[in-house]
Amino acid sequence: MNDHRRCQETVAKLQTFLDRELSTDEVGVVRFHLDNCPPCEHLFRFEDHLRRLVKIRACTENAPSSLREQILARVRTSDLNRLTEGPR
Amino acid sequence: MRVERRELATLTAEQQTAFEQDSMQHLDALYRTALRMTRNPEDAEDLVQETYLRAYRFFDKYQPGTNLRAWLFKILTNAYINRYRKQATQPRVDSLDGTEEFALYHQLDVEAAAHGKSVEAQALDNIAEADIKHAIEALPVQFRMAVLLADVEGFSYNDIAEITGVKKGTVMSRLFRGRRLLQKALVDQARAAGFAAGTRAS
Repeated sequence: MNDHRRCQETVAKLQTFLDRELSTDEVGVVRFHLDNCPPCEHLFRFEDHLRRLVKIRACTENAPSSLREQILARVRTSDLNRLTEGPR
Repeated sequence: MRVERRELATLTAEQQTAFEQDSMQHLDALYRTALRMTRNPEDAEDLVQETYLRAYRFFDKYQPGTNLRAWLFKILTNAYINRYRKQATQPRVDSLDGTEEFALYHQLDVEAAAHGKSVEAQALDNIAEADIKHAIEALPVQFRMAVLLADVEGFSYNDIAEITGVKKGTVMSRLFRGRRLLQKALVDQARAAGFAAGTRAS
């Protein structure tokens, strides 16, 4: 908050931070800033929430059980396919 | 020719069991990704079937102990690109001007501030599930795949680079742009859901 440049540096690392792609040291630096800067902390929390929303709300479908059975059936009989299709 | 045939057709009983037990654990994950990519259940089922048949055919090439899940997603991605080559290789030109970082947050923040409120992340929950799905499905193919692999499936940048066959830096920029586009699409949904309209007291 007190240092605008710190905010810029922190926000620049938002994606890699939330994606857990920063080194331990870098994570420490970002965390320290977030602990001391409510606006940045607020933005990070918002972004994190949005990602979780995509994960838990937007991709919830399970495969139909018929699909599992079809795949297993085809795989179990597919030695013939493999012969007729040849290599590659 | 005869020898080649026999090599191709032989999976040991152990491999067969491993394939059925280990690879089928990832069916739901592959299916939901296929569903967001193809945008309809029938095509998604076809794509996933093709993925498994290819995986089975090349299962003797799979190195036990390496990341089976990533290997299956790589096959899915390749199968998708082969089928939908036209869409997949025509990245739509998007008007992102680089000033739209965190579009949703800032948009809503401004609107909330006008009502003397602040943006609450939980208010995002008001956006309908179907609207989020549509927003994801509207993303250009390459961005959509990156966002799904990262945000839904939790793959690392390196895994996504391997799965989609591009450099890590490309993965990062696709994720960055994909997420920004997603936010742009969600601004209207969020507003329609009454979020940031000042309904939240205290």
